[in-house]
Amino acid sequence: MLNNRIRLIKIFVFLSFASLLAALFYFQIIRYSHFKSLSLKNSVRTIPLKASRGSICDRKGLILAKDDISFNLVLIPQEIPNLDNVIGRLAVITGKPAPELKARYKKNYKLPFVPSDIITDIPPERAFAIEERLIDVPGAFIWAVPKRWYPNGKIGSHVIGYIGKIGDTEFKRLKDYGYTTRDLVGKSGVEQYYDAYLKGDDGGMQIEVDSRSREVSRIGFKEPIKGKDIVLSLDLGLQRFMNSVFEEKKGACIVMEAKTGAILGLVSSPEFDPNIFVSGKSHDRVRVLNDKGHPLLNRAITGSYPPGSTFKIIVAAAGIVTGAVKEKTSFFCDGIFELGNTSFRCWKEAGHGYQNVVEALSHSCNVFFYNLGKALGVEQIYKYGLYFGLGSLTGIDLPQEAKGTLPNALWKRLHVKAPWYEGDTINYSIGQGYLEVTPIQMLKAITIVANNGFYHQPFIVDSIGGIKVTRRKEHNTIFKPESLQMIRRGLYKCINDRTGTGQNAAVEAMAVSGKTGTAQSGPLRPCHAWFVGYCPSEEPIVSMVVCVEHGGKGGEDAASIARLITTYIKENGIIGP
Amino acid sequence: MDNIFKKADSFLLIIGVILFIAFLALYSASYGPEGAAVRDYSTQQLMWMGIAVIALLLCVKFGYERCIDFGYIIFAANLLMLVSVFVLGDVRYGARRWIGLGVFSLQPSEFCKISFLLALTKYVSDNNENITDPKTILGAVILCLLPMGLIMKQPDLGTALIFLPVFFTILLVAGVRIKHLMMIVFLAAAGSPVLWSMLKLYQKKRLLVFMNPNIDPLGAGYTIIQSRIAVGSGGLFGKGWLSGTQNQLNFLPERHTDFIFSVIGEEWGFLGAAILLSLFLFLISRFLSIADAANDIRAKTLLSGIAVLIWMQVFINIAMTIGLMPVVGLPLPFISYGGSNLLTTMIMVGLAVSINMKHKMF
Repeated sequence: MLNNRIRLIKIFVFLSFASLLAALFYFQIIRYSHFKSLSLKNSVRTIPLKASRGSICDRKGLILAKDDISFNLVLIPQEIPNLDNVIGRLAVITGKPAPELKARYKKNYKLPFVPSDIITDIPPERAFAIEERLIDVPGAFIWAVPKRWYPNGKIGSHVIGYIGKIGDTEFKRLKDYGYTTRDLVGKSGVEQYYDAYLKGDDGGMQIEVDSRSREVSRIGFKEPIKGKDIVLSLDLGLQRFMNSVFEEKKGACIVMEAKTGAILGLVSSPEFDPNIFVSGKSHDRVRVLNDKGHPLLNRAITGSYPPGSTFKIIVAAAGIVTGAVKEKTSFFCDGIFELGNTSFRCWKEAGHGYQNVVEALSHSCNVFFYNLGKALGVEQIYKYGLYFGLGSLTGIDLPQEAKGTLPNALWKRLHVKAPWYEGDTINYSIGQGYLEVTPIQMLKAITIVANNGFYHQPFIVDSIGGIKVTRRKEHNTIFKPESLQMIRRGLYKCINDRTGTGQNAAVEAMAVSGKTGTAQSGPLRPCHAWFVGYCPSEEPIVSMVVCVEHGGKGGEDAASIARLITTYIKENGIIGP
Repeated sequence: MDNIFKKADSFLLIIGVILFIAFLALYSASYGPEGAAVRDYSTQQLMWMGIAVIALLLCVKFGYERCIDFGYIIFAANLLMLVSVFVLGDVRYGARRWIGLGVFSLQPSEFCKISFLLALTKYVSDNNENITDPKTILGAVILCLLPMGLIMKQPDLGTALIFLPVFFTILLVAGVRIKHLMMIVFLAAAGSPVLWSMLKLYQKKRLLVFMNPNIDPLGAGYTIIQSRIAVGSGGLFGKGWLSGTQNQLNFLPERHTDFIFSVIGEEWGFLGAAILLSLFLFLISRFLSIADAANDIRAKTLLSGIAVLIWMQVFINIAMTIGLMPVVGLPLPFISYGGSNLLTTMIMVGLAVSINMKHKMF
């Protein structure tokens, strides 16, 4: 009985091969002349039609990136009877040297039926003039193609990103998703992170033509579908202002809606003009790529710096939550802290005298935090660093976010191959040593304080194609509002007391809270200047981080920048009724 | 070892001929118009053929019975490899099917075809007395769904679906009640909407394009249209080796892998295609005849599984190149470029040789 089953399978095998043979007979014998003519005359033309990329707007609908029409002179390789002849005629028509045109053709050649760009970005009038003369140049056409355009130049470039020709490895990864070798893809920022939405769906035609290249019939047509438009949470006005404040400086600054995580402005300086990647001269691109200032690096999320005194917020929180520090606990600062044979200094040589945690935050007293750090030990500091989100990604919707380094004893053993010394802990407690954070991580940390213990994942994109992007629910941290009370008071005094280190950040008629930081970065170069803060102090609406790379002092340079930005925010109704 | 070829069967000769055809076809697929940089797939494949022959001999030496004995272990290891693909893979953009092994990379989903054959054979032969018990069948279903699920997730729809005919064949030959098999088919059909919702967008598109290639003439439909033109314009005798205009003019993407048959169809015509089909038909029915004659349930189930696996791949691949089936991304056994596929197929041949030798002796 079982052997009958195998025989049954055999019958199916025979039948299936017979049906294949029949199909082949139909295609190869009966319809031979039809397919022969399609293939012999080489008479199916494929004409791709590029889809427009979706636009990117700010929260008010102002355009940050959009597709314009651009005119290109292209050659379709398979339609060229004699390349040198065609190139020669094009040289006469366009006035460009023939060898140059030929070199471009060779460089851009992809496949016989894929148009190869010869001259791009021809002004419209000239394009029409050229087109009229192309009628008897076989294989040459003027093509209108969408071209990316960033109307605000470098404003917001690190958020928006730029696009470029798809690379080989990118193509391998993306080809199953409908990408082709001719595609332009996002290379950074929103352009990269949301490329799949912005890209759209290319269309095209397959046309059967006769021996004189006249259309006989359309085999297929597919309309290109424009990519989805994206609305950002960014405010272009604020962004422009932040950009102007940071002109000539290196560093990063982020302003966020504390209650939602919406990024209102994000500057990483120096910035770059994304337009040069679309139509700029190649030497412009080379200049940007080789610039020692690394303008393509998004310092706001990828730059890692020691946080300096802004880290004292985290150490203070660790002390309060573990009970190492009470309201009345104070340490005496005489300007110096001795540990074995080593002395660690306070930034104020004369010392601060007795300091409790509120005063120590306000005055940024090192000695207080040396004592507290020593009492807590490295692992506690590390643990509370984790609670504030240091050493891990914030999950902002931009590519290439960095994790920074939140060290502990194990980390040092693995990476430095040395044991952890108590002196390391002392350095750690004022935000120096192996510790490295990104500006956005510090923004997250200060927002947790501003919000009394909860925060939202920061985000840039508000809606895609008119549909709101759903956000993860609010995150609760281990911090209770009570435990952050003293810190909030310290941060208020830091800006608003006569002795606070952050007075330069004070703004008229609005209470600002914050913390400054001056982080050493090697003996030969100026320090990094930090400011983290939020306002209004009572019911915070925005939180902010300023980090000026080798910018000097937090209390002067970073705090002044924060004041300018806060003033702008206040005067332009970003905060308020 | 030296008497392998004496005791082996005429089908080894057939395979030799098919491999020679494969070399010629790949040579032609690599042969482009001047100026175009085309990789030489044929010599690379020659290296793989050498490795595959060694694998075949090792497999014969080891013997099919021991392979089945180790079936579960091999299967489990293979599943682990499939899982590791996700761990090592780039999760964000999907498809990652290969594991890098220094100079070359292997595709665990290909090898899973064999390990699944071995494991299922072991399962049905170990449970032969209870084969009519629905519980036994449930175990087999689970055995089948494990690799299918993992491969579907890669995502590699074609390879995942090929497990189904193998599954049904082995159960059928092992003696499962037809009634039970019908029930599984019914349940699977009822579950297909769920399956559809699990597919990636581009996979859905491919299936829809199959219904009407013209909805996407530049994307998935393009290949079908061009491939059909290539095969159809081959006519009775073909355009001649290295002279296929559709192929040589680069109209066909992936012509060295999934669409290698259209190279053969265009350049060798109906005659060439018919010869190739007959070779495959002979090979598969020879396998089935040996299975039929074997008096060991394990040999029977394993070899019919192998025969059906090769048959299905041949049938689906060719039907796909002439637009009778959706483009699901299955290679043509022995012929498509790719090491993992050739290696897998030749190991299966090795198992067949081993079975044939054993049952000729008695």
